[in-house]
Amino acid sequence: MNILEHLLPGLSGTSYEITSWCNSDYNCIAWAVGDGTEWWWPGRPDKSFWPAAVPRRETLEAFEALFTFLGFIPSADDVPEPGVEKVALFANRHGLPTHAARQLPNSRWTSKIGRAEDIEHDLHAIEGDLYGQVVRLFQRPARA
Amino acid sequence: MSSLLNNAPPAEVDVETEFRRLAEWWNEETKYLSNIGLAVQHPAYRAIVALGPPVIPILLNELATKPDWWFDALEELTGASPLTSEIGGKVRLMAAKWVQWGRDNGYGV
Repeated sequence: MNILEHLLPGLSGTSYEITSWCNSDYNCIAWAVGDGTEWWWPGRPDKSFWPAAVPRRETLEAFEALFTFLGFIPSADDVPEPGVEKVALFANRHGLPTHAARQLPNSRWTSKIGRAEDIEHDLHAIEGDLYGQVVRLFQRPARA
Repeated sequence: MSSLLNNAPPAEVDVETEFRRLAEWWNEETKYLSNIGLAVQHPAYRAIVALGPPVIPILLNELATKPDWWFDALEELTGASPLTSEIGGKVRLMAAKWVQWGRDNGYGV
């Protein structure tokens, strides 16, 4: 078992794919909203990017505000829809946000795994101790 | 996570070797986290900071060649804060800023 499957055991036996090299330039939140250049997190402003209009707090409410600020609305399900971009927000058992993933047109999901690689995966395959569970789904019109 | 005691270094290991060992441990156990605030609390990262000033040029050289999240360690070790909100999240620019700080402060990086 590789280290990825050790930390995300739900991937074992699924058809996930590693789709990039390791990269510390951007993280899961950035990747979920279409930015492959910056590290998005509500930490110190000299170390991480976070829109100024969104509360800089590590709470579910602040992350909901982030997606709303970026034009997302709550989504009822993870069923792919033409012309619609969906993202999933994960939180741990304490309700603290841990991760976000973005749905691809082929109905699978893409995640940037921390400072490591991007992977293409089934949405719920990365739930577990590390990222917790999917707690919110959002959608917005797909960009051209 | 492994305990620090189980990962204690052998006696008389040089700082570079010890940094490599700790960095590998830290990467293995935290590279899947987006929350860097958690990652820098890991025992391996704390042990890198505990190596003290001799590890500063090693961290600066790492940032010059393969940028990673050594910003917190450098800030703790040097007391300097060369980063600004204009480049927050732009990891390569943040690394370049620290490298420039190193050059300005007499580190051969």
